[in-house]
Amino acid sequence: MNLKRITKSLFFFVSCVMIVLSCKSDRTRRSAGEFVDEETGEIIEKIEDIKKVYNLCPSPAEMLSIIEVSEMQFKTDLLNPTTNVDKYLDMRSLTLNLGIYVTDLAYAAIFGRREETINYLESVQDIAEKIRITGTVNEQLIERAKNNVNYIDSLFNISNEAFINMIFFCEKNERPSTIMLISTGAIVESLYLAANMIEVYDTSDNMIRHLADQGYALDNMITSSQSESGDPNVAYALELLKPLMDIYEQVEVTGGRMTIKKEGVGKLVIGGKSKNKLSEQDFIKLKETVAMIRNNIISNIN
Amino acid sequence: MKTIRICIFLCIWFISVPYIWSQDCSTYHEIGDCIMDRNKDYKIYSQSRSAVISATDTVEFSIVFYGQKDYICSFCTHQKFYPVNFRLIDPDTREVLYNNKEDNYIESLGIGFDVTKTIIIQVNVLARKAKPEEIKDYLSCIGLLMQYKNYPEKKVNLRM
Repeated sequence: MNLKRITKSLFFFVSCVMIVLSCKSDRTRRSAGEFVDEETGEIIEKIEDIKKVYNLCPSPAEMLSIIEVSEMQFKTDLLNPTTNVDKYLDMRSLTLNLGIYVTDLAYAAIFGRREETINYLESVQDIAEKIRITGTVNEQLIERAKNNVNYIDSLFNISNEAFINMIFFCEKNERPSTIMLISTGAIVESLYLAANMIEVYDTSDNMIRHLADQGYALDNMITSSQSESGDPNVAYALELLKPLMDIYEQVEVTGGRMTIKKEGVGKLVIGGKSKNKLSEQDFIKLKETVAMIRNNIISNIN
Repeated sequence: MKTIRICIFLCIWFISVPYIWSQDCSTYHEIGDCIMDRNKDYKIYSQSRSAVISATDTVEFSIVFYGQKDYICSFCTHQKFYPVNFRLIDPDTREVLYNNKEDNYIESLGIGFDVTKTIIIQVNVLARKAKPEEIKDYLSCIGLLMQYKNYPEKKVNLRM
């Protein structure tokens, strides 16, 4: 009786599998048809509303890449010391400081500082494991950094890879609040480092212009997290960033209409519009505000 | 009754798992056939992204492009979903600045930015090689691979 039941179930199961497989094989065997333009037009008309909007931000290494290594000096005292890692115990401060450390890593890499780059990479790995972003900064990446300490480009790429791996991991595992906290730490530290690399305010300084332009990245980051503002960590990050956004909203935008120049098939040049002008007063305010926010994060003041 | 339930569960599992797996698109721009410029001056831009798309979807990427840099934006998707139609849009005015339809749906575009700007890239697929039932039911990945390099010194045109 038992054997009969098993045979019946097996037969039923095999039949189901065969039905599934036969459907699939039929799909691949038929030759693909081609649409004529009218049909394509119909499809375009049927396109639904925008399905998803991705508001993206540059990595810390890209935000800091304006730094002219040849003209500027590496300042160790600007970085959050790696000895502070053990001070951060709760998930929120760990995640915010991961953003700080990954930016310090990028800063050290841009200057080609071998020892600091490896130290910060190890600290980033340490925190990433603690907040369960497992495997994003692995031994292979650290080994690659150790083997390429003499190549600034490689160190830059490795620091970028560490950041991108973490963001992709969080996107894949649907951890938007982790992305927001890491990005908040990263943008705050990028602004802090960039502002403190400027010795004297000068409108012709590329760094001043670049600092003014970071409003775009900040804006994209805030927009991307609006839908998650009910999450307490996202709300906390938005609260941290608000004073910075207030300053950027005051930044004067000069220049005329955006221009598009086509340089043959597949090549465009976009220019003309939106040059942001950071006044000396705005610069001082930005420098002070970002230092205050950053110190709250690294001192673990919630 | 129990056996039937198990069989139904197994059938659903067999049918759905390949579709679930096929929807992990996070690194498609790296592993798909997005065209990459091997010139060593070009670096991969961290805002390169991939997304799940069907033939009736439109996806938007809002991207910060830094000034004084040349970018290459390349798109890739499943072979049945080509051609890819993308448009560059001014986020302030929603004006379409460029539509690749003008250039016979090219998949790769070089863009130089004189000044820093946020641009929206709006993407959909025309799926000309797909059958009607595939258009309705299939999901695939769309990849946007971006590379950048600094402008050559002589090109600086800031008009500050």
